[in-house]
Order: sequence, then C-alpha cells, then structure tokens
Amino acid sequence: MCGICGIVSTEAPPDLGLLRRMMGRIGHRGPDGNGWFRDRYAALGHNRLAIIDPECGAQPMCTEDENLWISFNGEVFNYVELGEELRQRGHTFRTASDTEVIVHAWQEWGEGCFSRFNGQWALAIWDRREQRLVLSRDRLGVRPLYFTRTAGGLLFASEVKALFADPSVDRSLDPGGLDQTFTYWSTVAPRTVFRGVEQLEPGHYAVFDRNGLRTAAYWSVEFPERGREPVQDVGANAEALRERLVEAARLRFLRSDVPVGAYLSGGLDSSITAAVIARYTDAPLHTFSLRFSDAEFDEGGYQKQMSALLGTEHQDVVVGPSDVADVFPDVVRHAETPILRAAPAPMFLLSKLVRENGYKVVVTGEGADEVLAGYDIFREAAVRRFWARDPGSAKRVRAAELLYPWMARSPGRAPAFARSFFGRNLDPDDPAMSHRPRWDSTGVIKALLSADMRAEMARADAPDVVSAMPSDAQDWDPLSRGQWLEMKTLLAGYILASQGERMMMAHGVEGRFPFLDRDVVELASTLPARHKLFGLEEKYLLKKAFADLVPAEILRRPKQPYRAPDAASFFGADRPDWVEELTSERAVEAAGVFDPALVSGLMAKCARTGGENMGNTDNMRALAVLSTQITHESFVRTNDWTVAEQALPEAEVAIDLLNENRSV
Amino acid sequence: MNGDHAPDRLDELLRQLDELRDPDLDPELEAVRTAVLLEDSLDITLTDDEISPDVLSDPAAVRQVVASRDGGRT
Repeated sequence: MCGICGIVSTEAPPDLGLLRRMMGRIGHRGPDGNGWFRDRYAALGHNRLAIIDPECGAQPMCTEDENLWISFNGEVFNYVELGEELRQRGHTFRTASDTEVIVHAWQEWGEGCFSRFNGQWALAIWDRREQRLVLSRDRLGVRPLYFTRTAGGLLFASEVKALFADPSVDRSLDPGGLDQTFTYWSTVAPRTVFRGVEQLEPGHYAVFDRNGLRTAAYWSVEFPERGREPVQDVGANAEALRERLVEAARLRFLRSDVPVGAYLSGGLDSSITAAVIARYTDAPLHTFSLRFSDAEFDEGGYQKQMSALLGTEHQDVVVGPSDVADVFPDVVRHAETPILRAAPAPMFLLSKLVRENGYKVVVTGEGADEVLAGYDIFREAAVRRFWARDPGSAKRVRAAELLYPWMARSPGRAPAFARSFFGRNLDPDDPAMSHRPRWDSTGVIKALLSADMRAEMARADAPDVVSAMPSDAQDWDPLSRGQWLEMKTLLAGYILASQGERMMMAHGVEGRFPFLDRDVVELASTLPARHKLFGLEEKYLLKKAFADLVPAEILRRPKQPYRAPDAASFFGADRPDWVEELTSERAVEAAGVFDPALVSGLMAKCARTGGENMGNTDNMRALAVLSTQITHESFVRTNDWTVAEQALPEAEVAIDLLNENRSV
Repeated sequence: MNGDHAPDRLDELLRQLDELRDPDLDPELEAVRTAVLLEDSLDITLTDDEISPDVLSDPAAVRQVVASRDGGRT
C-alpha cells in the first residue's frame, strides 16, 4: 500500500517543488521508497510501501513506449491471472509487479479493466499522447483518492493534507460536508468536510483532459428483487460462501512478498479469517489484538482462546483512557475529518504494534457486518418492521427485549424506551426506515451549532443519501436497502476510512479484507435476506458455513460492537491540556462551527462527571466538538501542518521529461 | 419465498428455527422471536393470538397458520 499524488496543469508546467512537498506530507504511507515523473502537463508522485516485487516494483511505472505512466496505491489480487491473460494477448512484462499488469490492463481494455480487477486500489494513469489523466478507485472505497480543481488543472492525492501543500488551495470547512458528518457519521462521496476538495466515489473512475473532468461508475452494489434470489437453498449458499471466502482469504495471505499477519478481535469475523488462513495455508501465522484496561470493552479472553486454538504467535496492546487522549489529535490529523467516536484511536495504536513487530500487512474481518448483515442496526430494523405491522400490539413491543436483554429485567423502563427508540418514524414505506433512528440520534449534535453555521448548512443543502438509491430498490428486501445505505455511508466513510485505512496507514500498515473481495460481495448481495439475517440471528449463513472452524463460544456469543471509552478518555484526572485550549471560547469562536456558550456548558458537564456514565448523545457531542476543533486547528487555522512533513530519501524513480532528465 | 409457502421450504425454515431455539428464553419471548422470523421470511402477518408459545412452538400449528395465509394472506 502506498501514497499517490499528482498535478495536471494546462498552464505553466507542473511545479516539481510542489509535487515533492505533496509527497512529503504523505510520506507515512510509503516509507520504503519514493519516485516521481513529470512532463509538460502532468507530474505523478509515489510513496512506496513495498509488498509485491520489492526489488523491481518502483513507481511511477510506464509502458514500453513510455506513453502511459501510472502511480498506484493498493492491490489487485488477481494480477497473476490478469497478467497471464494479457501475455496471451501479446503483452510482455519487465517486472513481477502487479502495477505493471494494471497499466497494461488499461492499455488493453481501457475503462473495462476496472471491473476485471479484484482488489483494493486508488490509481492515476497519465496518457501522454492524449494528455489525459485517469483516476480510479476500488468498488467499496477501501483506498482513498481526493482531488481539487485548480485554476489551470487538477491536484490529486491519497490524503487531503497533500492537496493543502499548495498554498493556493482553499482551506476551509464545508458546511454541507459537516452536515453529512453530523448525520451519517461521515461525508458521502464525492463530498468531504473541506470546501472544494472532492473524493472520487467508490466504484468510479474519472477522466480529466482538455474537455474537463468526467466521472462514471464501473460498478455498484445491487440486490435482486425480494423472492427472486437465484439460490434459495441454505446449504448450497453456505457452501458457496465458504468456497469464496476461503479463496479470498488465501489470495490476501499468499499474494505478498512480505509476511502477512492477522487481526484477532475476539469476534466472529476476524476469528474466521484467521482460522481460514491457519487451515488453508502452510505459513506460520502471527496475530495481533487490541485489549482495553476497562473490562467493559475488553475481549481478551476470546482473543486468547482463538489464538491458542490456531497456535498463532500472538501480540496485543492494552489501551486505557489516557492512551486514547494522548493519540487523539494525531488520529484526527490522519482521519482528516471530525469523528464521533474515540474508537479509531485504539486502532491507531494497534497498527503501531503491528509495525513495531516488523509486519506491514494484516488480514482483518472488516466488511462482514455490512456484507453479511451483522450490525445491530439490521436487527433493530427487523424489530421495527415487526412492530410496524401492528403498533398497538402488546406482544410485538416485546420484540425489543430480544435485542436488549436489560429490558426484560426492567419492565418499568422498557416500554417507554422501546416506544421512544423503535416507535419513532415507523413508516414501512420509508426506504431508509432502518437508519432513521441512528441519523436522528446523531443529528442532535447539530443543536450545538453556531447560528452562522446553521444558516450555512441550510444554504449548502447537502444531498440526502436516500435520493441516490436505485429506483428498483423498492423491490429489494428491506434488509438489502439497509445494507445499501450502510455501504454508502458508514462503511466507506468511517469503518474503512477513519477507523480503518487511515489508522493503518498512519504507521505504514496495509489492511486486507477478505469479506470485501469482489466475488464474496457479489455472492452475498444475491443471497436471500433470511440467509443473512435469519429472524434476529445475525450473519446466519456465515456461522453455518464456518461452524467447524470456530469454537462454539465465539460462534454463539452475542455480537459485541467494537467500542472504546469516549468522553471518559478526555475528562479524567489526567485530562490533556489541549482539551481546554481547543474548547475555549476563543478557539470555538474562531472555528465558527459550534456555539461557544453551548460548548462551554457541555464541557462543564464533562468535567463534572469526568466523562463517566454519560449518555450516548453527550458522548457523541463531546467527541464531535473535540474532533472538529482539532480538524480546524490542523487544517484550516494553521499554515504549518502539525504532523511533521517527512524528508524524503533519494527517489528511486526520477523522470523529468520536461528537461529530459531521468534516473531509475 | 414470498407468496410461495412450499412445504419443503417451510420444513427447512422450521428445522433452522429449531436449531436456534434457546431453552433458557422466556417462552413468550421465544414465540415473539419465532413470529419475527416467520413474518419476515414468509411475508405474512400473525395475530396476537397466534404469537403465542402454544402455537409457535408446535410445528403442526405453525403449518396450519401458514396454510391459512396461502390464498388469503393478510
């Protein structure tokens, strides 16, 4: 995994100094080497995390005729098979690198190549003859790709901070992007929280040439009409799922020239990926886990059990509240967006552990909850649909107790809570019925906004994600509509980004996700909904398919959502100084997002309680304020980037066709 | 499966349901859990009287309820 960046300029030749500064800002993504290319109209930069063909895979790379140049971040796991197909069509290769296969695939199939790729990527190809830049991003948005339009062209990069290396790029927060973040937990591509900065949508490619910028989709997740799923037999589907997941995990473990480790959370998904690797490959497995000093969040017992069963070499890091607070500013600087939970911070510390142990690739269980229906939001939606069939029924209201056992023990509190949470917006015809409770409860953050920001958000009128839902979605199973919304919002914008890729790449670690394999996702989307969520049993088919590989205790344990202490991390006895500085009246007013008096009231409450025993709303508000203030401080207010720009070592590739200088 | 409550499909559903039955769960709640699954899988709506352990823990009674919906589903 790497960092990519570039400049296209129709006016003056691209500024090499700017390109090097951009590369320096994302140096953490590729500590193993770097390279650049420039001609009259374009410059490409590359920071390399060397994983495949470390000796010969330096980038940017070109075709034999030096017409097509590529800067590539990611993996196309089926590059061996694609390379073979291309050889049969007459292509020859100078390296064993996947990157060379990709540029030849573009040469052979044009934009049709992207649907052939099975992997996780963000790439840029410069066609010198056509003076055309092509950008592309993987199906679900594992790898990031941002761009901004400039007076004479376009800048693009793996991270926004590289775009801000150009002082002419606007550095202000986008009210529409903030509105989406304070509703969906993240922006929805192509939007970002920065004005004028866009991200390429997952499953899309873009072309920039003398006719301007055009984007198009090469893939989108689709579901069959409810009842018309191709295979109804649960046994046959379990077998097919197992076959595809085993192959996906094997590909991700074996297609690497450096050792690959695995995360082990103690939950079902990472247990399955680790177990598959242990069962179906010969290589020794090293596993890594995150533990919490607070027993409420810790899953150490299950991690140890699974690690012992698989005989892995195991390492863990124990995280306490002050650890979260210590790294939180860095976490936000890497996430480049406000985050409403502290949960990314421990993931930042986990990837640090991986790197310190000499690993730079890990396989994880991300994506299973979205693709195979593991989240509580899907179970809650099933309960709400059940209740909506007869809201007056005394029996139906009890379904909420199946989700939250405490209700059964609190008959006095249960009905009121159930009505307030499950009974609100109970419209079965609403395509977003599954997500309204989450969006409503997140939206309370907006009560803290300043009057100006409120007005700007209203003017920005950020598009509602529901309006982008395909027209045939009305015929999908309601679970499929919920999965679609989850993939468009939380998966791409938060799970894979703020809590995923960014936290791994902060320490130069590449994550690989078997559950997001092309063939797994395509099978999963054709399954009958009841094979994924069987009544209220989440990931039913997955459990059935791998019952022999995972101990019953892990297979049957209720899903424990991954969480970390939120406000409690920042307002204990050892509260860091930056909390007070960044939430002072002056700082809040300068950022202009929140109302200083309301923030002051919230902070006083946090200080009074030490952040302990606060409700979901206040926890989210506190995190929203802290992370938004850090975002503003790091990207908008200051001109100096607060994470040190890395000094780059000598470039492995340095091709300046503007002056006809070259060294490789 | 909607509108097509083929006996073999229903048998499969009941078999799967049986595997997941939780002997420690309050029987009334177990009936609610079964009702959620049947309604979602078969696209039928049960009455409150039918959402009861007497009906939903008995495969024959479940078959009867489902059969009553075929051809005249609520």
